[in-house]
Amino acid sequence: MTQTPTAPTEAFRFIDDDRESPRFRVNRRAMVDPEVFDRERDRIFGQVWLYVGHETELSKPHDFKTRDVAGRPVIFARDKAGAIQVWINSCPHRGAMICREPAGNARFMTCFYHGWSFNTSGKLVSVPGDTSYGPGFQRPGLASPARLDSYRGFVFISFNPDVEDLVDYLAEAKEFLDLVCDQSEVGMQVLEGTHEYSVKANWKLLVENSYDGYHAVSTHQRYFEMVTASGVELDAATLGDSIGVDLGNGHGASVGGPGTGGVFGRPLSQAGEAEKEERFEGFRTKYGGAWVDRMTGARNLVIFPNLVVIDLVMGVVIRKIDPIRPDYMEVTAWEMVPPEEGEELKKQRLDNFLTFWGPGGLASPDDVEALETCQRSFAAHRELEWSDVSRGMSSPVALGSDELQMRTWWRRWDQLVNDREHPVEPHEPPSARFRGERAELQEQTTAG
Amino acid sequence: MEREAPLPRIEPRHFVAELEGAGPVEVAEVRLTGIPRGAVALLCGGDGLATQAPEVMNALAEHGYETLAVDLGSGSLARADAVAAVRSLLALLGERGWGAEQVGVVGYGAGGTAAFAAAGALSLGAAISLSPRDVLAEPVALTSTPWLGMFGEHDEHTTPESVVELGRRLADAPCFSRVVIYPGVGADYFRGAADALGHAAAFDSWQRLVEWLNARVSPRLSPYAELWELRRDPSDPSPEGSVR
Repeated sequence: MTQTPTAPTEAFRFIDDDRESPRFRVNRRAMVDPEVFDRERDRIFGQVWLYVGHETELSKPHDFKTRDVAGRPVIFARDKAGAIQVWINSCPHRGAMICREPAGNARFMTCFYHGWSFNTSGKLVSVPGDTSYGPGFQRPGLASPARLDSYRGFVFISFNPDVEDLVDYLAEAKEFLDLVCDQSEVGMQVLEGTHEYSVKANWKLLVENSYDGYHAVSTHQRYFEMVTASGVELDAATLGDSIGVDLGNGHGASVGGPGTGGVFGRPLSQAGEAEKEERFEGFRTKYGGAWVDRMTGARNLVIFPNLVVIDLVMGVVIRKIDPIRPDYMEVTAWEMVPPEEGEELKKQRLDNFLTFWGPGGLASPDDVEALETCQRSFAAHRELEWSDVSRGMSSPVALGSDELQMRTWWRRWDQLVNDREHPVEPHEPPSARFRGERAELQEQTTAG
Repeated sequence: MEREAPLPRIEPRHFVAELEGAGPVEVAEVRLTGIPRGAVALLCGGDGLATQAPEVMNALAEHGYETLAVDLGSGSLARADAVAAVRSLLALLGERGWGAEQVGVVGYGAGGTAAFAAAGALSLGAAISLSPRDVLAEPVALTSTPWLGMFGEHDEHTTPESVVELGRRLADAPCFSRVVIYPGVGADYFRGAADALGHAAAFDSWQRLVEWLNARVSPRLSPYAELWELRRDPSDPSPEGSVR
């Protein structure tokens, strides 16, 4: 049988955004085509802000972590003065990695190939036998990404010197990071240790999955059975109390109504419930009731292109999705906690991180299996070209179990990768219970 | 520590110096030619200056470190006096052009206690204590010197529980520190032994010591590096740095 020649990606239409029907479809070639993958590397990962890590991962001067961002190995470090630095993990001499440890603390990092040493401020401090270079030698420091900035401890870099400022890039997603970060009086903290796993599937499938409320009950039936067996009564109405939101610049979220956070975890003792309630009562005084009501709701946030923050209130997961090949991704996940919480609440978070989100937990393996079967079936993308992402297009308000948040992401993807513009999808604004503002913000608005 | 094929041995030069807090003390010195990697103030315990110190000084020289070694006694020196003595050693090293960040302090036994005290009081490149004593006797504040403490499980002066407690207290200190307990060995684990645990503890502790120094002690600038420093625009400390 003769294969149909593949059309060049420039001319190919990957997104069918039909507002008349309405219908929204994604061509499955986007999940398998190496040329698409290359364009994503250049046009997305080479251009926008990308998450590196959280400031609390580096608690002391000279702490460092090594990780990949957009396929580039980087050193994420705190320098002598306490400033966060990100360096390309490659010796400017002949290219070997300066640092081959995943984490540690060192004032100097020495390339094991020829012994050049650099400090955590990126400066070259020692070259063995440097007389052979002559007195005029220009001593190179470590290279760095073009831009580095952080928002409430979330550190981002961009390889594009002309990228917009981070706060502008984050758009309305800032507010959702605030809802997470306001849950601690002393600052939310990322715990030491990570979940690291890989999925034999295109990276965009996990982006979709990360705020897909539609799949939860069917895919994660096992987990919900376990929670029910532990004594929690799952209320279908509570589970359905959610909306999907477009946060601008491709960011989006599935957002639970007040009180939906925590319905997924194992039950707490009376003392644990009391501590939790007391903590949130304290926040009400500081931030106002409307904001804290929102804080008590679950939220699955995707910051374009590959940062996921899932906040079920009793468990906050930060997930970074790294495309490796068109059919393979690597995933790193961290647990974020309010450090002042008592032992029982801390235990519930860790339990959630392990039993739900862990690579050997009761949920993530289900997702991995679902995504890997998707990828295997995309071998037939010529015979079955389109995936449907239309759910909720005709609804006045998109629900969390709808697919508005994914369409938002895909439209931004199409704009960057294929230069195709899509108008914003019109919906009514969410009800007031999803829009409560932080008291301090309200005061600023009033004063302004 | 055990060594199989020693390089030609450097005989330390001995002299007496007046150290603040300790009085006149015999000092052993190993100087290196060329551009040494850094300097170490070696604080011996017991009779270490006469016995183990020359071997340790030679081993440090192989990694590019000059040393000044002293014996600060068996623990009779108050911590403040021990810190003052280290300060005097720093002054002696300063005469050779070594700045505090280019110096590591390494102490064995009672000398390890002095190194621990120095780490809490001075801003040095690095500090390392092997089998220090009474580590919980006084409040600890590691503010500016990263400290590595290594202990034997059966150390009669320091229980594993107190080492764990020390690690807990140091976790919140501004400066990075690490404690290590070697299983199945006593306080003299660093001398090496024929059995597997003793040999492993001696080998590992020496490896950690060298890596701790190399990762933290500032290297001395070569003449060409100094020229480069002069040519660089001081307002642009990191020309390759990110826009922040």
